[in-house]
Amino acid sequence: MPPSAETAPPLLRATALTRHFPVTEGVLFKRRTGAVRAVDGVDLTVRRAETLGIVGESGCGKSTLASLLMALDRPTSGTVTIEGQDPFALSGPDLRALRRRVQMVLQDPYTSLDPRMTAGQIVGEPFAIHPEAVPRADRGRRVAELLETVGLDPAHRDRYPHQFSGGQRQRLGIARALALGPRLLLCDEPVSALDVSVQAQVLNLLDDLRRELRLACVLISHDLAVVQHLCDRIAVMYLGKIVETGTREQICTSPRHPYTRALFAAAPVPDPRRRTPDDALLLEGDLPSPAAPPSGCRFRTRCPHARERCLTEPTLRVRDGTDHPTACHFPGETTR
Amino acid sequence: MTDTTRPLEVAGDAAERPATPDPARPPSGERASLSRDARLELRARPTVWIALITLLLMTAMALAPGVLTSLLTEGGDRCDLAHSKQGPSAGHPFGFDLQGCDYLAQVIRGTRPSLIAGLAVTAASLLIAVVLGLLCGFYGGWLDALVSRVTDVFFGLPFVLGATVILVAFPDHGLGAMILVLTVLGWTTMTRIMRSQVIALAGADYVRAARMLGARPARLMVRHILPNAITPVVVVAMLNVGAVISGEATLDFLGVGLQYPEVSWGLQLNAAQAFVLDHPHLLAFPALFLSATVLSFILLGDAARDAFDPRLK
Amino acid sequence: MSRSVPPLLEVEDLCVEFRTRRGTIRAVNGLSYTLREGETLALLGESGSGKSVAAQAVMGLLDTPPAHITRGTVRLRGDDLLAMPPERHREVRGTRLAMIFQDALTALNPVLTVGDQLAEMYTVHRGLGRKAALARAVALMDRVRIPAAARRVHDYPHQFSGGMRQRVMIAMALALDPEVVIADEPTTALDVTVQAQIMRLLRQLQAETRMGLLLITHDLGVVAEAADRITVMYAGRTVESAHAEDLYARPGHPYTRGLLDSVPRLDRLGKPLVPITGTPPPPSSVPTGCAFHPRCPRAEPRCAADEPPFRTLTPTGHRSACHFAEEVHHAPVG
Repeated sequence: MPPSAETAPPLLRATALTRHFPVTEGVLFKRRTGAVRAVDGVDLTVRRAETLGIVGESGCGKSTLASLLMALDRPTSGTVTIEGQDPFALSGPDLRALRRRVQMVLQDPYTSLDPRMTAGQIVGEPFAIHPEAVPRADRGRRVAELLETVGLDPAHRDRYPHQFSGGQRQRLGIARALALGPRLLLCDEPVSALDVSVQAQVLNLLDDLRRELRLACVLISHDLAVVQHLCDRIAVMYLGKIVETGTREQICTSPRHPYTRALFAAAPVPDPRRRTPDDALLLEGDLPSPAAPPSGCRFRTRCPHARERCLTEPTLRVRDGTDHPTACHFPGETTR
Repeated sequence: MTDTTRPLEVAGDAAERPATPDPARPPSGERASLSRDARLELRARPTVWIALITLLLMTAMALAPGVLTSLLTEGGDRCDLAHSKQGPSAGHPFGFDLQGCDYLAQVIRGTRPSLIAGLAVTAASLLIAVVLGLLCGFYGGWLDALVSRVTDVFFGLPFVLGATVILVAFPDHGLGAMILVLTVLGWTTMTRIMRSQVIALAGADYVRAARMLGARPARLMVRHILPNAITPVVVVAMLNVGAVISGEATLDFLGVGLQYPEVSWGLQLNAAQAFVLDHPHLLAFPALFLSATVLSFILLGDAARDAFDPRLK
Repeated sequence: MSRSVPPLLEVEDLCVEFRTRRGTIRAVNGLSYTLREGETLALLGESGSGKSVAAQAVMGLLDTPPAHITRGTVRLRGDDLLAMPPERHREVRGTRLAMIFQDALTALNPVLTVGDQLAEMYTVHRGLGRKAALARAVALMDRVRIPAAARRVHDYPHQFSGGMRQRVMIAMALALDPEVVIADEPTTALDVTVQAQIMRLLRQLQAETRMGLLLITHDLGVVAEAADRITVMYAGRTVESAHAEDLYARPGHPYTRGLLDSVPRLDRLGKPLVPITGTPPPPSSVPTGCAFHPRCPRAEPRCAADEPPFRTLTPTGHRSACHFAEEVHHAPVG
């Protein structure tokens, strides 16, 4: 699906990316007593003009991963490269130049816009931060263009965020992210805070934008249907690790990891004729604590197929020649 | 997958406009402008008007005492020991003080040090609070740890008692020294509030967004954090003005603040204490002015807090 | 269904207003539905549709002022709840009507153990002693399938995971064997795998107790999984009601149809989304005529002027409030 996918160098690459948050005890003298392994050895690549979906439930580490990919947070170990450059090795003007290439759309349109700035100021802020991007005289026109691009009326540029609806506010956030002409747009749950009837507008806008601007996207969501709708490739995340990656067709039509299959089984389909049968196998229990992940395979405590080997031997996501690597000891056997 | 010829505006704003025909009116009912709410709130309270008028009068007295005394009293600032401690009479509505000066004129003259102390101490504290709060809350780390401990230490010092101890140690002081001492003892509350506000806002989504755009720390602090963090600090500052004014008067009254021949409400109360029973007007008038001023600042602070606090809606 | 027994819960023409300093907001405007024994009725709507306010009105949880119930009746087995004195309504709320809230963490008291809170239901309403009540609490936690209930009964709410807390909430609602349980977005805060568990639990409990379940949600998927019948609300009004399969297969209102076309679906890989334009109106400025007309693809001038009546489309009880309900109903889906 993505054009010249194999030949183009990756736009974004994460290698063995890990972020542990220390757990401390004590009031005056803090002792380190453990670590929350929010992100624990994640490898992923995003190619040019490709959309990668990262799907997982709350607590799987997807938001921490987003912060690492955006270089907002430093990894405990591992590397991120954006067009071959390591953002954590850069500083000052070089880092700022790199930031122009990757931008992010945040989840909550009610908190992601400064309530004391007008729409025009919000969308124009990138130019104030990067004065070299657009000459001062052209900025007003550019802001108007951006507002139009995301489907807002440029005449509303003097309004404050609270005067817009949730969907319109999310459009403002998208316009701000597009202002510097990024090559990669990271969207963290871009529609989950919106009304059902408004979600499709924003999803379609993102879909159109990525096509017309040839944007690469990383879409982080808990909603399998949203990810499936928008993404070329999908990575499934569980407890700090990516358990399965593949093309959309591979993940949706022949998921191999038991967790991925459980996600599909649990996701409600808006059709009463396709109700989950009463005897369908549902995942039991809750997500284990990322501060004390299970030994061996992280999913084994909830896996209906867990065996002896899963208890002791960690699963690795190995390329087995199918471009559909799965972190499971028995991916073939447990399929259906 | 999708129809790529679809124009980008299709899902756009065009259809949303009919639902909100009036551009001046926010499309969402519950999220009306905060400052507009604040104005409505202030307008609806008669106490706020009374407080504002009181403070306006006090300011006028502090700025131009001479004009007011000559307008309101016969003979203005002239003193005559023969009138010592006389009660109110025609042309001298507040009566006379110990030295036989017109008491209204004296009380008016006493306004200035009180207001100057209240406003100067608060302004200085606010400045310290904003600078330290921003830096500590934003950067954290050793700077924050150090300042927080120092704040804790100063927070533990009692306001009036601490000031008494220091001022007694340096007997030859004027209003400037008092302002300095009261500031040193009074900056902690606002700094703490500012710091916690900044910490909360430093993690706010819109600050994250600006950070991702590559904004420098100075821009994040001044453009995004400060305007959103300052409101509760300003509210506390208003309450603080009242507290400082009464603190300053207390010090004068105790004899460790301003000294004769300066004129202040605290000193007048001090002088009045020996004659309370026989000449109650000596106590009543400066006390009235003092209470009215302090109360006005507190009322204003309360109203501002209610007006800006969306949770009290 | 015999004629002589009044229906379990019958809401008729319910209107709720909020009177504030900024004016009067009509949150619910003529809502009617009937919930039968052992049945799940879904109240489907977006934020601002009035679905939660309507539920609170039935529960008697609205504060007056600012809320005023200006019209309508709410009958539980024929007893008019709105006409009752407040103490009676409170008694009914404790025993015959129960509610499950979205956010279990705020609905439970953080300083009391889960067991104490469950036991309190029995000590207050059934006059049981502490020991006996605690034993009932353990049994209740078993019933909602909380593992190791006897040990966990002494834990505090924050020691439970989100899914387990929601089970505690359900246990609390079921403690006194209510006839009607109102679940307000019971799974919105939960992950899909946990959501599936909770929905299955509710279904199982309903089969055991024959309770009527009023499910309030914005999620088309959850509704499809659980509901027998569905009432769709928009801007405080009922726009459509039908049996679940009927509603999804042949929606009779453009809003319902728009919703169905606009959600991405796992069973329709690669199908484009057709969004509804615009945004739901805030309750403070509901459009005239049909409230949906500014966003409706087939609106005509009369839609802005006349409010369409809520009328019956089929003998099976499919009803819709649209001037063109028949055309919408007969148009092919997909």
